Amino acid sequence: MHVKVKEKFQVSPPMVFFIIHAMQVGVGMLGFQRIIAKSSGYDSWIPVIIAGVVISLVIRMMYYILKVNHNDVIEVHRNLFGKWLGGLLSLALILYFYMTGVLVLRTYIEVIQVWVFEDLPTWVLTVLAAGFVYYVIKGGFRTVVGLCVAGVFIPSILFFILLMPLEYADFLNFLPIWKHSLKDILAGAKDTTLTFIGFELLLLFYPFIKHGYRSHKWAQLGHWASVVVYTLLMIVTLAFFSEGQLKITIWPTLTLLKIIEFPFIERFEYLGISLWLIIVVPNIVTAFWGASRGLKRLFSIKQRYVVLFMVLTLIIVVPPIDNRQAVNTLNEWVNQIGFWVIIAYIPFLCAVQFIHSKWKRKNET
Amino acid sequence: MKRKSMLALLLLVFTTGCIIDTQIIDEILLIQTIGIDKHDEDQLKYTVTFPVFLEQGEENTLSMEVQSIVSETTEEARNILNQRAQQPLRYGQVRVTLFGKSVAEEGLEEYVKSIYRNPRIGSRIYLSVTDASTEEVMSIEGEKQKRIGLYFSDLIEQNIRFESIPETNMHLFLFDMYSDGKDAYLPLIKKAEKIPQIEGLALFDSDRYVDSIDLNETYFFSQLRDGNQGGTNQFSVKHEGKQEYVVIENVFSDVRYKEKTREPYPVYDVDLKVQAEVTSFTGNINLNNSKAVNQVKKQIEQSIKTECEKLIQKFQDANIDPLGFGEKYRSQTRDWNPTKWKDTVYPNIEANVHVHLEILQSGAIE
Repeated sequence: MHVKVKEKFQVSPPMVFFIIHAMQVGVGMLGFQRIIAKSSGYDSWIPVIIAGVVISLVIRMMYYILKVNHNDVIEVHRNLFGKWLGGLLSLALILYFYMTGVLVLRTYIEVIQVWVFEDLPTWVLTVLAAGFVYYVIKGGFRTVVGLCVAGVFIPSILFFILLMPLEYADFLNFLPIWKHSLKDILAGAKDTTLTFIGFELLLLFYPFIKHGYRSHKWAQLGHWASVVVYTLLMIVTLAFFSEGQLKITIWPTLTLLKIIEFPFIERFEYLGISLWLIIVVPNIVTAFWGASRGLKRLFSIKQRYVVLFMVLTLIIVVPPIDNRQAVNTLNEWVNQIGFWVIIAYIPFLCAVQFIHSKWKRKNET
Repeated sequence: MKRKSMLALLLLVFTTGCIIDTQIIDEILLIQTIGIDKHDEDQLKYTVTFPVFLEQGEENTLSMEVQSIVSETTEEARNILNQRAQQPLRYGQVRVTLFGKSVAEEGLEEYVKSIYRNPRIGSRIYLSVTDASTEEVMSIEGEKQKRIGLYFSDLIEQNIRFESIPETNMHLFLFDMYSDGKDAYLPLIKKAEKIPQIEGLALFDSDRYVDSIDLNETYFFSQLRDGNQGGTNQFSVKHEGKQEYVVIENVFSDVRYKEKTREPYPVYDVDLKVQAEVTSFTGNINLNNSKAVNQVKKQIEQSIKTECEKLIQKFQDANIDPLGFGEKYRSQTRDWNPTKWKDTVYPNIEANVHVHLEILQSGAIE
């Protein structure tokens, strides 16, 4: 079945910039530096750029798939793999989006528990977030996009503030450039792709964009804005920490904020963590919107019931993930899956689509 | 329906306030200074100071409490302290952590790490080594005892601002300690005539306190490290056959390292540019006479050069690298080997200091 989204539910192409950028900049930004530096050390800014280029290509591929079909990934799966196999693939993808939402929420709650309220039980914030997620998604896709726009504009001052730790920068750290082997750099690039995860939701919200294909340049722009932000933050971090120090610091971005001192606020990281909520919320909401939209399309049930169901499962799923090890394991899992979705699955889908189109054209003539 | 659900959501938000423990400023004790000492073979003495505000009384009186605990680990000491305290102790306002000499000699990594691990404690806190036990240094008699909480942080901050010691805080210490090609330093505090004062710098090999320099050497050290914007020092010069003293105050100084040759061992040219003003001198040197000024300048340049080279030699003899020659070497090479650098290369490097002194002015009188 071919579902056409009514124009009053659609958003204009430039909005894609905000959705992509808001999805990519998230809770991963608090601690990505250490993970990359584990393999690439002081060269870690290079993998960020490499991963940026690779993902730019993946976005190009996604637009190819979506342009041919003029629809979302559920329809693409059905066209290419048939009702059952296609449906199964869609279900797996939906589960993955759901898990990214869970992961972002849980990781952010962990940050709050470590840095601000050590005695805050996990379920409190989960219940609060669940209520909020339900409320926003009920407002429809346009509300979700609105939140993404706010999530890009409001915290943008933070990025200027993150230049302040340059007070203690030691740029000698960067020399000599590229002293790691290509293998180490690529291992770093692999870890970097994880921080860019989130843009693949485009596969689901594509029909909600007016003149879908015209939004390609906005998607690329949003992606490159993220690359610039991540690269700059990486450079500040590498100049600020020595290698051994960075390797023991779990949230380097917060430790960077910790050094900032204003006459009226002694410990800036508390403000930073609170502001980070505005960055994190669009992530969670968009992921759950995507998952619920997918289920709606797959089983033709009302999205409102799907969201309600998801939000309720959230309250059951999140609180049992209750310590650092569990959060870490979840992170590794979802990141691993995300990596293969981006690097292997989307190119695979693109290739299948390409062959399919060729074959179809041949049959027609 | 809609209004009801909104109301429910709002209620949910407000109830969270009851779940988290509130921390009211009147009902907690804020630790300002921590001291860590060796007590026995494997025991530590953990001393903290915190202000206590008396709730009832004629005026708002402030008293300072000092408590010591003996225990195996700092975490255990914190627990015991909390059990004893009349109100919960909190670490959000720690300003200084002092380490006794014996602790510092065995290595500070685990203690500093445990402070760094605690998100409540800021990165800008000062760390410092005391010449005797911290407990002894922290007990001052009289009026000052009331202000002991901030005494040490004020002492260090003031000295950094006055440029008698280079900038220091926990972040900088961690940076240097975890760097392969650089060694850390901390201010060294000593109690002289019952008053704690800054004695110089404690120099570290990785995390172990191995050597120290006095304030005079620290003056040259700060200039060699990254140049500075102040600091005063006295030099002896010969003028017309007599021994005279000239005091100069740095206005600006800048230092540059250049590697001249690498093989067999690196040779560095250290260019030190100092702009200074003469604040005081003995005897009758005519500072309006350019010949006399030049003579004085030459002699001061020479003594800065000797002092700096002596200092670098001293670091090499102790095999510590607080100036970061290793970092300079690492940034220029593609096969960097920290152990090889430390064992064979660093003790054999050569540094030639070239001083360019410029005397800007000599005050308001002739």
